[in-house]
Amino acid sequence: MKKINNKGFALVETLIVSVFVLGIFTLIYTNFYPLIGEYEKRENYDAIESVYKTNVIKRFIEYNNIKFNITTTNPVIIFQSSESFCNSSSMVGSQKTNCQLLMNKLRVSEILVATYDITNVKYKIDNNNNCSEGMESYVKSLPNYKNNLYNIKGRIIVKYKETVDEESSEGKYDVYKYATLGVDLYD
Amino acid sequence: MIKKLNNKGLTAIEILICFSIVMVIVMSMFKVITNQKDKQTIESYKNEVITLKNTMMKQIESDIEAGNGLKNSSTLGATVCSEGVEEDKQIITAMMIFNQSITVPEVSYPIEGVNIKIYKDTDCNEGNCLNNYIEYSYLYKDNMYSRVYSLYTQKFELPKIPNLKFNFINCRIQDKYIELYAGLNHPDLGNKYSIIDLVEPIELGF
Repeated sequence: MKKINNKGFALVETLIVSVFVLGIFTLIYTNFYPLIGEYEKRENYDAIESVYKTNVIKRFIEYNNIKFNITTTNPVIIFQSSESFCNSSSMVGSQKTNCQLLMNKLRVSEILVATYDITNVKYKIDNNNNCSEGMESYVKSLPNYKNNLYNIKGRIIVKYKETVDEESSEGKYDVYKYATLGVDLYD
Repeated sequence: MIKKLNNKGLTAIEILICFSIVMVIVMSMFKVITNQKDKQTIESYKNEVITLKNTMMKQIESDIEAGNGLKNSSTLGATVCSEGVEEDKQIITAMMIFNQSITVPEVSYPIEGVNIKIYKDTDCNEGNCLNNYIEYSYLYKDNMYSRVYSLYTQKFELPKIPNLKFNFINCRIQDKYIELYAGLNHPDLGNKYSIIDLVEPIELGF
């Protein structure tokens, strides 16, 4: 008669299975954890108030007919602060003071002027020291805007600073919000 | 020779150990599930707060933009961003008079004036801030049309979110810009998702 195997699992068998299961869990965790951060980051992308603010900048640029030196070889100009944007050679006379007033009201902290299609912009800002990390992530999350139905010549990408007051937990801290709109920026 | 079968069963100590392990697992799972349920409720509040804020922002902004430039209402003797106290409520009033000389083809109704009143409860009764609302009205050919965005009632098809109230309202007209900066506060969310941040030039020219 065949003997019944009552020995159970050997220690080495249990260890191999445990390591295997642990490996799978680690793999799942490492793959899903960054997605949570990504989701939280995207809450600050193209929020309605940021889009309306960007629309005010768009109206300012179009009303004053401000043009920038954007070409296919130079598809983006990075302005690390609102001051550098308003003091650029594209602004003349009272436009500079009006621009600074507007930027202060809107709490703009960084602005990019670029081509409407941002395929080449993404390459240009990759590991570019002039562009902040947050701005780089935002631009990379955007579509390329290949279809330009209304033939808009240009795009502004803006970073806004907002102070949040979390009464319940973290107290006051700064949040950066991002938005983009197509604007006629060059001839 | 046939091996003897083990018919002894489990000892009391083995059963006790098993039960205590199972109990610990169930208790820890219970806490995790309860926390998840709370998180789910907060998440639904978050979406509702964002929807409420977006609705108010869109309505106010689109009407201001439709006006295509605002007249400096102080020249017309209107109240501009005043602050006052009525009974137990703090009231902020922002009145904007649109420039009527500019025709706006995009909108079906010409807006002649917009009046925003924000009522902020100083005291909420058991989380119910009944007097916490934005009264938003516009004037068209001597008729006043109004919308009320209440933070508590469901009267206007807006979400009912307990304990939601305005914790700050700043409104001013300065340097040819109107600024409305109001924060809705919820104890679980703070005001991260609910800041109404509106900056608009009063006149068309910048």
